[in-house]
Amino acid sequence: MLKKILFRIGTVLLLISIAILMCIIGRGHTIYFDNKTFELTKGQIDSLYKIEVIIPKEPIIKLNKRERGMATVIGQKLNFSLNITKEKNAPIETTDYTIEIPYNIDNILINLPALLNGLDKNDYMSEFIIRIEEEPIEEIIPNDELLPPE
Amino acid sequence: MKKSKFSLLNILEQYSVPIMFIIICAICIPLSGFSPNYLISEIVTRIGRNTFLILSLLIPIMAGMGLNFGMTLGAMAGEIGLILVADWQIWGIPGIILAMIISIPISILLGYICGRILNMAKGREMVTSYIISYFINGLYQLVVLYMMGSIIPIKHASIKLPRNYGIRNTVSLLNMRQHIDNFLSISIFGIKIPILTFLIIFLLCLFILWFKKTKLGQDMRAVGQDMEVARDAGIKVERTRIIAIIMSTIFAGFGMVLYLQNMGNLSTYSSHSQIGMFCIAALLVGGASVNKASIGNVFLGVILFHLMFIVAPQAGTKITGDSMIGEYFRVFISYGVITVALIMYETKKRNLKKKQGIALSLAQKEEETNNA
Amino acid sequence: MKNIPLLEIKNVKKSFFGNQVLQDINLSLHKGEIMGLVGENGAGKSTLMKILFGMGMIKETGGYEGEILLNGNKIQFQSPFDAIKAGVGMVHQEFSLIPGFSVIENILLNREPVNKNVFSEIFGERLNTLNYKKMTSKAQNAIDLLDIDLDSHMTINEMPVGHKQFTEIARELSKDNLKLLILDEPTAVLTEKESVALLSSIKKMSELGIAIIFITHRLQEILDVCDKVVVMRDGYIVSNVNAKDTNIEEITKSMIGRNIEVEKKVLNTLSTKNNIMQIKNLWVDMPGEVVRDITLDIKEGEILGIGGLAGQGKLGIPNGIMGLYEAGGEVIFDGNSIPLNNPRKFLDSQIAFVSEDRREVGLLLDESLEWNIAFNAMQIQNKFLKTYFGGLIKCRDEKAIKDISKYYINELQIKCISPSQKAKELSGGNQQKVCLAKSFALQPRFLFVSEPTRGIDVGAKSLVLQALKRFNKENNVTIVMISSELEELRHTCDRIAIVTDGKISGILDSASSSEEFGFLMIGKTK
Repeated sequence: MLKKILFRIGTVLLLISIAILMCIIGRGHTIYFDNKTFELTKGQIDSLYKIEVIIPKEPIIKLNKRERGMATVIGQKLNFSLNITKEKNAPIETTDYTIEIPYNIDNILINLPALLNGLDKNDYMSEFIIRIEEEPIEEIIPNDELLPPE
Repeated sequence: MKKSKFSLLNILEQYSVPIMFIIICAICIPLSGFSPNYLISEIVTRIGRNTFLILSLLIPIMAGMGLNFGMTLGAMAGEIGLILVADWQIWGIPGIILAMIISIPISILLGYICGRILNMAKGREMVTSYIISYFINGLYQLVVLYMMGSIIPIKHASIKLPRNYGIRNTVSLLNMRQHIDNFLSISIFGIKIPILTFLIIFLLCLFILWFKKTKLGQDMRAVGQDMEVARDAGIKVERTRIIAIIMSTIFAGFGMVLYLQNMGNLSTYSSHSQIGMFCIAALLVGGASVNKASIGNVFLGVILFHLMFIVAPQAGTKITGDSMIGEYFRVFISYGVITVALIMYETKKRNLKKKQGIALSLAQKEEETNNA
Repeated sequence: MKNIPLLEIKNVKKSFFGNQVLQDINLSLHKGEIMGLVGENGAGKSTLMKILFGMGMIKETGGYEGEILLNGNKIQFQSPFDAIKAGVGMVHQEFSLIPGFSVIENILLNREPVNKNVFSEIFGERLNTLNYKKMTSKAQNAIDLLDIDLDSHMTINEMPVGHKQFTEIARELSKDNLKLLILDEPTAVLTEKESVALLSSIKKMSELGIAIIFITHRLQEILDVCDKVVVMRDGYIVSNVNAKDTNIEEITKSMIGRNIEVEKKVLNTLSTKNNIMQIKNLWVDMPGEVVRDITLDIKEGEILGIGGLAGQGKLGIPNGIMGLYEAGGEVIFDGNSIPLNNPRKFLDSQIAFVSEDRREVGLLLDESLEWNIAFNAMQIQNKFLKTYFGGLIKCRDEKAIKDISKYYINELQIKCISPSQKAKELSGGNQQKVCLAKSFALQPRFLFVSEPTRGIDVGAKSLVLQALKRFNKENNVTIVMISSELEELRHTCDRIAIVTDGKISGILDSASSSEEFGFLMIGKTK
């Protein structure tokens, strides 16, 4: 009897822990990469000529000056490499980075020049707020359509 | 010579409904102009999408409760799970698993309510479950249209209505779209086969087969055949029936999550409402009846029913030249064929009785000729 | 013999709706003793057994007074499950079997041997897997105790009735702690050979220490196998003696309290009379009573008996002709061929049928007695109706209905509280009498009666048979009587046909000897 209750509580706990695990490993984020000039309190860091962002399993993002790219990431760790061309016809340098993404933020903006200059995380990483445009008001008509689903 | 003719007729009669569907499809396929490749890949997709849901119908039939229109309740539980997961931005396969786990307690609750009500309506389970699904739809709308966003915190405005509470008509599931299908998929002749999905379906089939051999499965089969005898033997009839419905609802919840992850898009207020009807229709087309259904019926039904779904409207359009006719054609044929399927089952039962009698008269005639 | 009796019933009383059904019952039974229980229908036997077995309807109708002790302990069964746990088993008259299950599954229903597995640890023991090997061997052990040839893998609905009965008994035997077994009319559906096998198993069971209460109307069986004979009448126990100290006449006298005179049938010379019905090459698909090829001529005004062993097809004849089961062949009545599979056509030709299945076919159980009696006549012949506006509006003629019911209640001595008592509340035998009254009310020209005295005690049997004979004589009604009791056929009928293997194996005068009939029943004519 006691064994059965223990087993049942154990199963429920197992399910809850799987759920929590899923929450952690499944958290999705959208990362925006900026190749833009970063403003400091004193001075600025210039954007670079061309940066290629290579994230495994994602298409390569090519960023010229002042361009912005987007990638989706699942999980809290982001591994990527950058192929940097500082000036025109300069040799390509490659660096690897691993960044930890804060859990709560959906959309993250990373300023690459700031990152490359070794600035603090709080500087190069910020939340990307999507401005919601005015959308036409949707009429909710919960109807019992007789049309079959696809 | 006589004997083999007899058995061919036998097979024809036993599978009359599936055969009728085969004939309709055979006519419509060439008319529709679809390539075999396209058709096969569409069918493979639909098998992956719908089979789990249809399998959830088998257990209540085993327990004698007829066709479970209350599977809509499980579908609603799955949808609530997905809405929450979409809001929490949990993507990919972990999101799918999480949605399934969330749906479990909701399914248990809804299944329990449904089971209790069905126990009060013994003998009229099918109509009752049909009406229950409408009633719970009302509760679902209460939760999704009013409570989500106000009492239940929803973070993302993109899911909510402009007035800031209530969920939009459609919720995008782009971030988990086909993740299970794509996880282990292989391509044969250009047709994508979702191995993981099929594996999950296979596991459910194994579970159902194993379950029939357990004590609970045996009790359900007994209750399904004769409730009073089972009761006299000491089986807790009411409890067994409730458990059957709860199991079916939980599986329907999982099945709905699988269905929606394949679609990639959740129609908040209409995805679940026709699911019950069409899964049951597919099961009937596969040769099942109100009190007997097997795994073979599920697969045969999903293939034939959805094949007809794909080809009939195109064929209708080609014949009449009007695309609207095509859509009407599809609806007309699907509902019409379900009606005919149910009628044919009744006729088949009566013909079977007649046949046994005819066997006797044949035997009589044989003896006469032998004696003469 | 043990000192403490296994079962003691002390001062038990029970009343139903104001009707005192058990007056003051005192009984005791020792381990391994076999008690034969006899009594008229309505005497209280079934009620007593229902109390013993803890059936719910006892509690629902006000419970009972008195005490019942099992091994010295007072028992208060709330349900049959309690009784089973305490070691009491009962084999009912109506089978309690799952039709689609095999014999093994039925024998072990809800008591299957199981194996544990991962899921059952978590979710409970109902997820244990069935151990089919153990199930088969346990079932086979129980079947072996009965000493008959029973295929344990066969499904119930494919079996003849006798085997179903054995399955029920095997189920009780497979219960390990069985102390007391109640058998309610077990031999009613068995062939002679099967009955003999059953009686010997009963003896074996008593040797194992199981006490047995054996309810039956076949008095010879009681004398063959029982230690004690208990006779009940009108709710009392009127006689409780050892079997070897009594005989059939004494038992019968105790049962009805008066002498019965069995009239020998005066044979009519019927050879000159014409045929009222001709049956040609009849086949009937009635599960358990298949008819293969019957050709029979029935003379006007006679009482023809149809006999034979159970399952050989005699019951299929009336059921098939009256359209209850799929049939084929030809039936000519009064010179006109009537199409088969059409009950209405036969009813319109003034042919009536009293079925052996009174619960399903014979009665509207939720309706009153008088309703039942008048029903068929009302439906088919528009009797007992008052018509207005030239037949547009028809109302029940309540007075006519009451009159006819009172008449038949008197004629057939139907035991009831009032004519408006619900049919389902009557005892089995009285329900049978209502079925007969219903057919008599039709005033048919031709009557099929199937097992007219099944479940009826000796006194009422004689009454029913006399009523049939009177009906035949006074109204010139041709009667075809199907029965498994040869003696009652011989006392009532002019000729008797024997059905074996779905065909007529012979027709004899009722004065012929039992040996001649027996030969027809056993042998296959070719």
